[in-house]
Amino acid sequence: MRAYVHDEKTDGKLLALCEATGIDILTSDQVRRRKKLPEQYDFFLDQVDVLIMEITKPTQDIHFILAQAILADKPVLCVYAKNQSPRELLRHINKKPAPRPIKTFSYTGNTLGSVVIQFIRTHDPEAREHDEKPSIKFTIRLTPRNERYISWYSERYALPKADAIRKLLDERDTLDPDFPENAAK
Amino acid sequence: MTVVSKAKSKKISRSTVALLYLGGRDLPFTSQRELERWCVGFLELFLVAAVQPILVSKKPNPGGIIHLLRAVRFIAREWNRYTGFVITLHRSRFLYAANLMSFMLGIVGKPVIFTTATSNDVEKLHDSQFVDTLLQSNIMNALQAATMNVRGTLVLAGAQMIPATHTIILRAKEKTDERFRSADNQVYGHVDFGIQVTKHALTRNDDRPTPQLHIEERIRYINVNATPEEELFHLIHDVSRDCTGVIIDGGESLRLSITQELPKKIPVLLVSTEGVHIYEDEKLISIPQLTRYAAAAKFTWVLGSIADRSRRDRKRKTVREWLNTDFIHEIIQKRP
Repeated sequence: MRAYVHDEKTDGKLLALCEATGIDILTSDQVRRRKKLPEQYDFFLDQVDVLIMEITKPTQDIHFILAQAILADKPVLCVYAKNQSPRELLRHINKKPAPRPIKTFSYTGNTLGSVVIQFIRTHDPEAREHDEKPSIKFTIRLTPRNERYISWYSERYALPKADAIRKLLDERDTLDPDFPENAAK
Repeated sequence: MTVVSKAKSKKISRSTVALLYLGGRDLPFTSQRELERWCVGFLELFLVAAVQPILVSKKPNPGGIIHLLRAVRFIAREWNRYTGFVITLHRSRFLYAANLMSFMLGIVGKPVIFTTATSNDVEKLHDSQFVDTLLQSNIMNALQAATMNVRGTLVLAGAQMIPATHTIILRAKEKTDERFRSADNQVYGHVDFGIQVTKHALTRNDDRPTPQLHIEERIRYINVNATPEEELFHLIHDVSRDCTGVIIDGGESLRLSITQELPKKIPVLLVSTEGVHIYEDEKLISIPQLTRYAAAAKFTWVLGSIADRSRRDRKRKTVREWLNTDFIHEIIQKRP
């Protein structure tokens, strides 16, 4: 699956989240740098399967892309920062009777990742595989007792400590009925 | 009865684009109100720009010029009210009409964008619903261009934005694939998640249209491919005394031996995919620096201008000299 990602607000966080899923990505920077549309395409939206756009401060180009995406019935995820909704743009989008190909979401730093992953997995069944591939670095401070437990656990199951931590999280993940992604299955 | 709606009394913002409808759909609009309802129902349109739809002609004749003249007068009159102009035309003779309007408007300092419903799969153009969607998509591209910092009379009916007088149609051998391309690689922009403007594009300035509306209507147009051979020479010989010029369209190619049959007293323009020639004063001269569409439109416009100018001054230029004179940057300097 290929996604167009338009992001001029999150300092690359949105793009990194999309890249972590392993899908093929086309960015607005790549589009601006190239001299023409690739020969095999006559309509720019045919290059991608979905669009993921940060729309807190919508530009003329964002308006145009969304207009064509609605007409073409192309799935789009529009995210905007919480308490900074682009009201006029949302009003235009909501005029279109449901079902609409555009999903909008007001995000915070903690919620952006899950909404992007959920959107991608909805449109790309193979994204589950990429979901299983570790690619996100995470720094955490452990208590001395935590460290002793991880050392014991990794020795017991003959795993490196990082793998041991992931194993514990996986077990917790699959057993937790309150996690929204488990509820959706 | 054709209608050109006057501008509404409410204040129009400086970023409003005028959308002039001169054809493009299979189903005609019967009134200005019906056009406005179509635009309102087309919700995506207003995401791109504030739009003032104008019904120039309910049933425009693709080969006629009255609706083109009305549109040019409207644009000249309302020039200051709009940030740009989008004109939809029927796909039959689209490039001829776009070129003719370009000559009538002259040099302009804002974007005037021509569009129509086009498809790379010509078979699909038999489906009216599909044609409507195609037209809507192309109108949105044209509206986006009409808000940008570009100027000139431009074609945007597909993926590329090209000066109208430099646009040609590229057809694949199978004849189901039809694309607009630039005759000399002068592309002002391409549609790619926005309109990506190139270095060739000219930016806005204060040039206003100076309409030159004298169009010669007494021209016979002969399509060689649509005329049985036994009738062709009869048509050529039978050019009436009222005709002031003839255009012979050879399609993909034209046997220049046809010149033996051409009338001697009036200019004849011969066009085909292979090139353009003018037959005048019993001489056949090649005109390589015009596209066939620009040549046909300019021929029509020039003959009207000659008739007008000859009433005002005594200097007589040949049609060939007029065709070789650059009026609106239509002369192609170098073909690739």
